[in-house]
Amino acid sequence: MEDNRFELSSELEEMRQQFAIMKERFDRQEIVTDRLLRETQKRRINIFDWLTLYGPIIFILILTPGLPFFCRYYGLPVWVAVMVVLLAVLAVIWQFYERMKYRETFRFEGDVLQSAGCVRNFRRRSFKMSIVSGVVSVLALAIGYSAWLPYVQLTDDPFRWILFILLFLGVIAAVVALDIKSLRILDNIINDLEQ
Amino acid sequence: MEEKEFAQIVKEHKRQIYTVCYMFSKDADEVADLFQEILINMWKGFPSFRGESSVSTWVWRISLNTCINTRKRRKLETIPLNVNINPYEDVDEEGLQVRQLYERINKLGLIDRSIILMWLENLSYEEIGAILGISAKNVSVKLVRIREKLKQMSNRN
Repeated sequence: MEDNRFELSSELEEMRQQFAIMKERFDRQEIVTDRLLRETQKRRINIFDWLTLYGPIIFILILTPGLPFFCRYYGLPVWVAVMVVLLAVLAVIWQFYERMKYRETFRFEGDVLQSAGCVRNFRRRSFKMSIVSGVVSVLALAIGYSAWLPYVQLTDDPFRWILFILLFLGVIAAVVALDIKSLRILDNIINDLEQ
Repeated sequence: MEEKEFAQIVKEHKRQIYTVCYMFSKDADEVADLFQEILINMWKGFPSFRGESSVSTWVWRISLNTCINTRKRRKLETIPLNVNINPYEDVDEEGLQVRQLYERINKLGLIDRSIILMWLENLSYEEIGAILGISAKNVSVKLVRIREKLKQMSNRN
């Protein structure tokens, strides 16, 4: 075994004394795990809210000024543009309604395991809703696209095609990423509460 | 049964965990966040802990790995928390002593910080080496370097 006491400097000796004081102080520290656990989950829920509620709101704010551009330069029918915005607004209203309905769950005030069960139910519901809203959105987009097709003015300019495809894929990727991220947050909450 | 055993380990080693959290944090919120993270990692690793090393060594390893990885990985998100002892703000004589220790240790790199903490806790070179995955000889060399660094810092001040 190596000798643990090598030549001490005055700094190290002083640090040993200070360390002893610190140890004594930390011995008096209470463990606040339960509260910590609840606080951490609440913080995660804030991130979840941000993603599911404010995410679509930001999406609408970015999308709405962009639509006149598509109407003007790509011949997108106005009713399709209105439908896209309405769908996004509907998603926000739905998310808000769901959160209000489950608001007691996310206060984490009762039994921890019970809270985990409630979050699990919410997660199951959210997953189903993601699938349903995904299918509805794709159908709506398909209908919109079919209606738009006769007016499309893309064929003469490949740059416009590329921009259109990139925007379309970008929106889909953003929605899927948002869904996956928010479901993961719920998974982490369930995991931690159950542990 | 397992839960009771785990709670007992946490109770017995809470000071050790707090020490590591404190030395790797910037404020009380961060201490609370790291403490929470360490407990979760300990709980996850508890079923696979077979007692091959001592409980204390196991706790050191998880605490240091969590703190070092968290520091490297991301800027910690903080949460509001009431801690009954706040070494960052205590201004009595003892508090100032602890503060000075914190400032000295905080000027060191992450690995040096871990080594000096374990040395202050009177762990042998073998134990420190086993926790960090380096040889006892290497620990002794690093400690000499740390001593020199601390001396230089002190001279500069």
